[in-house]
Amino acid sequence: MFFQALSFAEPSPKSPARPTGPRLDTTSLFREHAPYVWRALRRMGVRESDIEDVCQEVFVVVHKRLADFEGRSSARTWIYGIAMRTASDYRKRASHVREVATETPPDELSRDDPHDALAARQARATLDRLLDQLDDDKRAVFVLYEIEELPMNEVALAVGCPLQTAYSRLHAARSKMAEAARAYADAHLRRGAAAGTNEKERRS
Amino acid sequence: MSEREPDRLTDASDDPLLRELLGAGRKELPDEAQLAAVMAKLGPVVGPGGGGGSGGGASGATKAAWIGSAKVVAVIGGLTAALWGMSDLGPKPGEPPREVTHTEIAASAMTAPVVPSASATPAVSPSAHVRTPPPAPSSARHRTAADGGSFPDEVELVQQALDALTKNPATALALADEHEHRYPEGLLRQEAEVIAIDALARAHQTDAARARATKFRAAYPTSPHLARIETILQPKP
Repeated sequence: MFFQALSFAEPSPKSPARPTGPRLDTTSLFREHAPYVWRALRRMGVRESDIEDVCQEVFVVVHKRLADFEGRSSARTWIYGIAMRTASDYRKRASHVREVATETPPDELSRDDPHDALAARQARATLDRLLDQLDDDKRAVFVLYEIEELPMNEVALAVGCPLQTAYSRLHAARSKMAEAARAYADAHLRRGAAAGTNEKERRS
Repeated sequence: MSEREPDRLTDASDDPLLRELLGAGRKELPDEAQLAAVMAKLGPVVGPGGGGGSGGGASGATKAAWIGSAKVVAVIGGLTAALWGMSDLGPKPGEPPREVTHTEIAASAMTAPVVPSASATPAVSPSAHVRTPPPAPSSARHRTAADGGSFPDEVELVQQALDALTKNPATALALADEHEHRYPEGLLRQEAEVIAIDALARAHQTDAARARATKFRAAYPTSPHLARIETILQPKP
């Protein structure tokens, strides 16, 4: 299972612990965590066109700081924390305009089933638009808990806040997301009704 | 602090739209080419061994795990293109394959280096060489070379097999078979198997090539390499 953390307390059987702890290397960490870092970065608003570079940034930081990693959290939590900060920095850069999710999906679709792929991309675009309603702090907590499925104590460690604050942010983020989802659904219903009316008028 | 964790919205939300959207958000994971592109960019930073940090507290777990930055991407793109039936667009024998960007890989296989289609001198031993392709991976985690070494090592082995294909099919076949042995769940299993089929065909071991192709089709009925295999098996004038 991917979410088996590479923690100092529970070394992997394939990388036996040395007196100073098990060996962690960037290559292994990349293999283990990169797909999920990628996903978290996307949900944090990193544009598709920038995702490779931002993902690389995360693991460059991981590589540089690995020697100082003290194992107070799992490697997974530590890396997610780096990813959240990197995504936040990315969004703050003046040169980056937040990606505006549109209802028109990109042309590039899966070869497997274009219809499913289209629906999935539309859903993700909509999700990202709703997530854009959240500030970075709440968004990070929401993404790590609801999408990456970290336990709350790890979420708090990753974003660097007290546990109770993480809970407060999650609660606020959930309320905001529910409200945004309702507004989105209502807008679609209204649009659908308007389209139906126009169609009736056109036929008559 | 003993607050009980709330159920996650994908399970507990009473809003079906939100459940669906979050479910879709969870499913977005990069494919191997996208990860290889990031890996290639990281290569020069991380260096051989893939160890950690300037402090040296964590050393590399694999020997020469990282190969040159663009090489991984180029090889994957090249292999993909080469085996997708673009056999007339490649470099001439002896010409070094050019490096391919990730964008090119993702967009199409039209411009990447390919296997020259000219037949080569038969040099394969007459043994059957009919094997059952390894099963499809059970999850994304198993797509890397978990048992036989690092992913770059796997890429290099398949690249060697591809390089040998035109001049020495026997070597190509041996390397492809070595790949199957070393990387039973490797990322490039299909590519290695297509090289093996091609090597057999080039060595005029048509029956063995066809038998292996039949098993490939059964194992990978939707593989993008099937068109290439049909081309390989067509009688040469």
